[in-house]
Amino acid sequence: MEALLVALLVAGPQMTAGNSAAGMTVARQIIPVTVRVEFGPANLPAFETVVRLPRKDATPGEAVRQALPAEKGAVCCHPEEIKGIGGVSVDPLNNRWWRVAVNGESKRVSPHKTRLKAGDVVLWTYFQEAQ
Amino acid sequence: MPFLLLLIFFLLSPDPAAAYNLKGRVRVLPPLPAPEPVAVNADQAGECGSVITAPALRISAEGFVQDAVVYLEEDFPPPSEPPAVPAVLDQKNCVFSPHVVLVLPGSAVEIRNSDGFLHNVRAFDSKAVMLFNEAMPRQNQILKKIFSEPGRFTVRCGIHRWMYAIVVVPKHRYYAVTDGGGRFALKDVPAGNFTLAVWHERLGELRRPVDGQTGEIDLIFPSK
Repeated sequence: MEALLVALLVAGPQMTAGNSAAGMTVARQIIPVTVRVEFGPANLPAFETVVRLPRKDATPGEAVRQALPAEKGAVCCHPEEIKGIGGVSVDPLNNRWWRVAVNGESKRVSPHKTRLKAGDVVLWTYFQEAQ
Repeated sequence: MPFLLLLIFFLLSPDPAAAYNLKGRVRVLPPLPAPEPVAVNADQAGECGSVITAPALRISAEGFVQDAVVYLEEDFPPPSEPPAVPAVLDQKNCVFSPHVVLVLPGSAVEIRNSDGFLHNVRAFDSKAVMLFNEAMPRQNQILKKIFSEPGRFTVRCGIHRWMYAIVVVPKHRYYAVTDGGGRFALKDVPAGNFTLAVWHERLGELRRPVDGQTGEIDLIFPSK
């Protein structure tokens, strides 16, 4: 009985604190995500880093905002879209846009809705379409 | 006799307050940029054809440039009279027509869908801020929009991604867009020294001084 009480006294605070020694708690889980940015026609070198995001905020948009300065704004359909990364903005006159893929897949990926998992690879690509 | 000489002098002197029509042509030196074909997505080729000719480089065989915006750089009073007819931007055969359109500030532009299938119209200002995004699913549908502030705006179809037009909202009345022969005319330009500028989305910008010249003025882009 005494052993149980001692165990609770030692383990109890760690179960409710913000950060445990392992970096993950029930209350706030942090996940690592790789972010890669390719600047295409902007002629800047590609950029890659690993960011650590709270799981509940882990979207492709949030991931790139942790990696580089990124500007939100409506490009098509929602004000939470990404219209600029690292100072390179969409260019409607020249048909240049940002596109996002997660683990190589870009269909049905939303910058602000898709939920990332630990170890996901997020690729943002600046590209130009013919016109 | 002195009175007669004075009379002749005043009769022959140009009226400093006389306005004039400033006319000219815009061209580019050879070798001329070639028209650019744009491949259409296979799933849209049934509506639009398999290839579209890019509208950005409409240049005649002689090098005259269409869709260049010519204007005086100086400040003048803003246009005060509403246009007799609204500007029209038509979506036809999967292109916007005209490619460059002047729209007076505060007046409406009629965006039309002459195609029998869905287009989607989005407009952006020069800072890529989206002003509106509207679906136009029906043939002969008309959307009226007002551009309140002077500037250059890009209007695109989000479905047919090669489709775009440029809306120019002038700061004053001395603006023109060149026709198929590269011609422009600025009417009733006041006498004085001004800077005549021309902008083309691919060829860039040019400037030259004007000073009440008669005859046509040539604005010549160097070859690219």
